[in-house]
Amino acid sequence: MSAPPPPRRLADRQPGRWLLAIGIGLVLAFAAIAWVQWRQITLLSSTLRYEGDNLVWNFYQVESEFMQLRDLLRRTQLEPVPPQDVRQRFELFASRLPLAANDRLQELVDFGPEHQRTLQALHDFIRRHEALLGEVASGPLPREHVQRVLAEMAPLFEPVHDLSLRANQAVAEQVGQRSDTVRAQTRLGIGLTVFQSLLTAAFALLTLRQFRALARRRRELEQLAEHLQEARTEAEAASQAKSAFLANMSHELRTPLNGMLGMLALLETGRLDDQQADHLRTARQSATHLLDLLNDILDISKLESGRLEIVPHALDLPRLLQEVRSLMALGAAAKGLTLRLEVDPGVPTWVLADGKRLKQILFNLMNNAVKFTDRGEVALAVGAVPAPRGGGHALHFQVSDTGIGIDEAMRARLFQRFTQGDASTSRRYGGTGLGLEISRSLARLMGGDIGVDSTPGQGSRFTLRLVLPDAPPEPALPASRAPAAAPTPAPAAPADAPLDLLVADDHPVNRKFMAALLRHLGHRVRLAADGAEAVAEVQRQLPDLVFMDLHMPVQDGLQATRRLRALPPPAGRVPVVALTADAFADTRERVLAAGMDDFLSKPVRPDEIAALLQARFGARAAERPAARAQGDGPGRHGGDGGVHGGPSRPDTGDLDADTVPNDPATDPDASAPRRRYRAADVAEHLDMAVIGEVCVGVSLGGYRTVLGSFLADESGSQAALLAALDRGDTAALAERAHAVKGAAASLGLRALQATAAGLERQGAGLDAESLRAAAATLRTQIDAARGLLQRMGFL
Amino acid sequence: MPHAAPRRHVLTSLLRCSAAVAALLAAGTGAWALDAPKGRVVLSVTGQVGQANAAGRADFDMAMLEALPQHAFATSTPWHQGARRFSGPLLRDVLAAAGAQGSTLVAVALNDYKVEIPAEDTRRFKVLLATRIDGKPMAIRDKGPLFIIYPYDDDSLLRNERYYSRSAWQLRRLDVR
Repeated sequence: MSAPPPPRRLADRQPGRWLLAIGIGLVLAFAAIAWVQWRQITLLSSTLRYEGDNLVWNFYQVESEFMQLRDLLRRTQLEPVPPQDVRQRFELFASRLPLAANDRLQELVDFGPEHQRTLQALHDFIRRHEALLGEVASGPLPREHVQRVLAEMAPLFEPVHDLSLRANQAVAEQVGQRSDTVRAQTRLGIGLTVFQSLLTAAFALLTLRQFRALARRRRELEQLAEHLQEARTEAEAASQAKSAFLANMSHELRTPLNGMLGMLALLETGRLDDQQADHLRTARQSATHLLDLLNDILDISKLESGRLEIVPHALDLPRLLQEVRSLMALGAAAKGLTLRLEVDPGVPTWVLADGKRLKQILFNLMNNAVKFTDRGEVALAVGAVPAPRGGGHALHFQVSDTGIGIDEAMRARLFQRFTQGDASTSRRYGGTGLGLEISRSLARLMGGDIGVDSTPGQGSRFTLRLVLPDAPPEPALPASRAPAAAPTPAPAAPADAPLDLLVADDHPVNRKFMAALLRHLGHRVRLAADGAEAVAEVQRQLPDLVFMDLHMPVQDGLQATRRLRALPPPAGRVPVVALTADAFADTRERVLAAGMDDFLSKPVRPDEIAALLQARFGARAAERPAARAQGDGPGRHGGDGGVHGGPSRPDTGDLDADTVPNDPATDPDASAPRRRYRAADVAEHLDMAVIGEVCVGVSLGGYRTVLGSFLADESGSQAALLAALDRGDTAALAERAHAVKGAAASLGLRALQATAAGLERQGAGLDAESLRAAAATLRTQIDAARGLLQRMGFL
Repeated sequence: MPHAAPRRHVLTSLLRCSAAVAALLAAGTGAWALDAPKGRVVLSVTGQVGQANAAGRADFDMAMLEALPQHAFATSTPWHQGARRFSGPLLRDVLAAAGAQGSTLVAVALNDYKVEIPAEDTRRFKVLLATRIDGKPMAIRDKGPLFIIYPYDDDSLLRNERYYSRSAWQLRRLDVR
């Protein structure tokens, strides 16, 4: 917006002063005009008073009466005249004289001494003849007296006439003066009127300008508001674009990262020397950190654009807490920290909440606590009181540690983006710096909040407060525990037959990763590069399930699914699970609307896939050891195996369908872990508290030695047990199981211990099939324990 | 005297009525309705006079004038210092007594000063034919013996030269036209 010219602005700034000045001017002008008019009225009334005793007329009357008296006196000498007529004349003359000698008259006109003399002479004349000619007198008028009066009058005639003339002159003078005064007054009046007019005009101009300035200002304000509105719209559009960009980028970034992580995971299953394993671990850690960052950024972008939705569902709160504890156990144990979970008896079991997000918050808080605590303990204490309104509970989740603590200045900035303790802590502890911001935003989205309480050097206490409605108990999810009836009619296949899975994804790395993952789980995999190909593949041979990426060329996942659904059964009813990296809440609705059955967000986690398959196919989806796939005959697509091959595996190309060589001969007994481990696996397989105690007792080195000898089965106890199981030798079973159980218990191998304990108690009553299954379980558990312990650095 | 106005009005109407009746009587009987003056004549009403007591005119001596209802008020004039109290009959009463029928009066003074007075003035204002000033008769030298006085102090409208000039003093004659 261009600035208005400065002079205008100056004038605009002082309209008040201008108005005041003009106002004062107008008042003064009005006062002056009032004064002039008052003067004119005064002048007029003085004129009236003056005219009332008209000067000239008065003097004329004196002269006239004087002459009439003289004439009458003269007539008395020629003819008889009644004396009373003469006396009346005399009286009339006498009555006129005071008018000419009026005091007020003297004030008005300066007649000079001559006038006074004349008046005095006339007064004397009257006084002298009063006795004879006055009204009071009577009787005849003696002729000689009349003659004497006439003689006295003769010299007075001229002065009397002069009186009239002089009065005339005085009046002329007076009139002239008056005219001058009137003229001056009129001029003054005109001047004032002009002045007043000018002031009024100025006032009007100023007012006009004020109005214009107001109008201009209003226009400017309107423009400003318009610009602001535009700017806001632009900013919103920019924000939308940013969010979309972030979402797209997350997709674009996570796809290759997903592939990378998958490949790294597969690499880890290969045979590596120590240095390679170490490099690989570092690479994986970096990639995982990158994925964490990406996830956090995606969360932030969704939070900012308001697209992150909290989807509450009934959840088993103690179980969720246990999961969190399990997730943290490894990290806490690695740092030698005691991990405590205290759940108040008042805490409801079933609540309505978004489990994923609640877990995310708790994990973040716990993770921070572990990260910033070097010794002591990390505790998660959960308490609840019934909510004041509704049928819920006000819950508090208190995560306390005995770590470095947070000073007050830091607490103020704690929940801000990229704020970690300070630069040094950031270097020392790593992390994305987004976690707390996300956690607090999530907590607030859930209607709660996170508070912090800390003493530097002594520890911190973060408290998440939420009011969660109670939920009715739900039957345990069939996911990872109890196999339940699959919602989709299972194809007629043997209960342990591998699943035939079709993966449709346009990205070769994703395809490769999915293929490796699924094959590793023991299933057969077919691959398709786009939707159309997927539909064709389904029509060619019906798979058990289709994994369908949403974003694909030619025909995207949604279109392909609609086409599939248009097919006649059974092809039309094939289960379809969406794979997508844009994890917005509406994506789920879109995919379900398109007829898809489920939804997995990328990067796909092996345990999610396993859970999903197990939920749908039950026992068929159970993880198979690689060796199990040996029976896969020709004509089957993909098959398993290949992916856990040694480092020399030629897994370099685009692993499309059927291109992975099926090579079961390749080290089926690889000692390296064959799968990715969930953090929850730790809790399932290991008892970190026992391991910790053993380490404390015999040192890490001691534990390692004992562990190494157990896993190498130097005692042969495992081999003996497995052999007994394989043989169906129930007689020796209890004893051999007992030996394994004891060793497993002392080493903290929880799952193995449990299985062995079960065999010890009940193994004698089992049939051969169950014994073989138990053997498989034992092997798996041994491998899992080995893998986990190796990952944790114990091996 | 706010209550005096209507009363005066009634009085005036009665007088006018009586004057008209008197005029009728005079026309009918041929007798003089107005008494002849006994003393020196101070005022002659000439012209359209219905109640003549002399040839074509109604003469008044001072006693006749003082026999009419008397009024008084104080007013200032251009010819006197301060406000003075004037008393005498109202001019309209005098005219009624003379049976005057006209729209214009010509006042003629002893010195033959003449001025026209609209008859309307006598009805509109309380115009006094003053015979006394401050309760005393006026000499010629005091602008007497008769002085037409308007109630100048009552009405600012009167305080101008038009009415001052109608205020004839040393009045001798009223010519009704």
